[in-house]
Amino acid sequence: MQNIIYFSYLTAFLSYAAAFALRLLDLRRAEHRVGLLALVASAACLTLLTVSSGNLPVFESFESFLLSAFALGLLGLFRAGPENRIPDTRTWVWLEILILMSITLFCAKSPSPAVYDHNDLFIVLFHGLRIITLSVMLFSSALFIHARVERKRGAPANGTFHKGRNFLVLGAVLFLAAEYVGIIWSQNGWGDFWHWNAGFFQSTLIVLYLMLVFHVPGKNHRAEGIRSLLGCMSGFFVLGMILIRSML
Amino acid sequence: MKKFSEQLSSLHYTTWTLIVLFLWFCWGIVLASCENYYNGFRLMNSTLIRHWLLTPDNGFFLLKCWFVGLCILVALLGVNLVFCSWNKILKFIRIRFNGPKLLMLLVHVIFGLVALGHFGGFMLGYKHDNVRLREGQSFSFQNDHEVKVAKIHFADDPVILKKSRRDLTRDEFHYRSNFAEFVMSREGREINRGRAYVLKPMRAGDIQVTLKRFTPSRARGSGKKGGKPGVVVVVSKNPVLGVFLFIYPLMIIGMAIYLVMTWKLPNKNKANQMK
Repeated sequence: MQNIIYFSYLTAFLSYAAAFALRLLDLRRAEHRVGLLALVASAACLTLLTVSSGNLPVFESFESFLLSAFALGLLGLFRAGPENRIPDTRTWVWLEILILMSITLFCAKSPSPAVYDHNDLFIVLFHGLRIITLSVMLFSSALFIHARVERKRGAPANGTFHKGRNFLVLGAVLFLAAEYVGIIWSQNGWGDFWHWNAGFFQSTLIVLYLMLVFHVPGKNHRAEGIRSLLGCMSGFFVLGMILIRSML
Repeated sequence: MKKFSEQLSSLHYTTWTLIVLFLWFCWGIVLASCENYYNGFRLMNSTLIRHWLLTPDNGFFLLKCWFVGLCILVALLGVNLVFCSWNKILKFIRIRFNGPKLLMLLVHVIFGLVALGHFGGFMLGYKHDNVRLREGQSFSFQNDHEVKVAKIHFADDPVILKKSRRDLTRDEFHYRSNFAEFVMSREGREINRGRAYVLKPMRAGDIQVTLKRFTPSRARGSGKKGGKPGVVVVVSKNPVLGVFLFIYPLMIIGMAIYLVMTWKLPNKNKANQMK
């Protein structure tokens, strides 16, 4: 089983890298097919991890970043509309996926241990929603990056900015939903919905960051610039917080 | 006066308060990473913040300053929220009804209530953490309440209780089969009886008995014949918990509806894009 997990993981990694390269070369049809192959290989790897551990692949760093890359790939392939010039949104999406996959290189490539409470609904939802949040935020970042590049080129980018903002709000909704199920988990497990520790503070930092993005004052060009810059950084900020939390 | 109220409701004020609050939590993370203050945070978690704050000689003066600073910053954000919301309400009365903006105002008001709920959780009710009990033992707490362990049912091999929580596998520890039965009484009269499982507490009104974990039996060897395991429980009461758990999802739903309502690019921006 371990060998098949390795094989599917490697196939996914190489396919994501190939999809990125093909996108840069503007070979769109080939890129789309290789992108689909990467998603199939990722799905196979995630299924194998699920079957081996008996719980959803949302707990350990390796499986959760793989799942996040998979969800981001889905968004990139099916939600990043047709764009003419390279680099476009999908180029940035493939690059972000490669960053996620590079992180998995440093993780143990094995299924998560069958811990007794890893099938608890609230625990699964908490971890799962955070992973999906990361994917949505990274997709939003890709849209903001593309919009900023387009604006520098002098091309209209209001639509892309608005789309980036939409996915940022969606990310915020999903993150708050994760926090809510986390609150229930904490209340059921420890008799209190809040704990004074670094993990809870990091979650609060993400909420405060999102509040900052949505409350940048002004409607001028400078304010728009700050807003879009914070939008660009949002996915990477959440990624950083998750990485720090996994190391603590 | 009008200018002052405008300043209090401005987005500049919001942004700067959020930035300072952000840095304050960064400082909190640094403190939580220091071994000395880590113990201080553990002390904060073990009781209600009201008690922790008002106990003079429990040390951690810096931590208390940090907490008071945090409360001040959140209060400043609250002032901003009140003034901003009030101005928005006046605007709606004077100008015209706007669906998404009205919904966002509602989300902001609910956010304020959620923050108040958080604060209420720190200050109201009580919390007794890490109460260690064995079968037949009881624990007395506020208002002549008492909780007694009537029965401990542990179906698995008690030897596994020597392992850390994260090392317990599904085959070793069946958390839906092991439970403790509690009897809650007030002034000697039984008011509730029920089972608490790990991750499934027993509730009697506002009072919650949470089974944190089982502990190995006292007998040496702690094999199956060496006596029953004990339990570690948290006895807590948070009178605002129900309201908090009700309004929090309302805020999320409000944001989701707002997102759906504003998903399409407004025509004004579309026109700009065409230019």
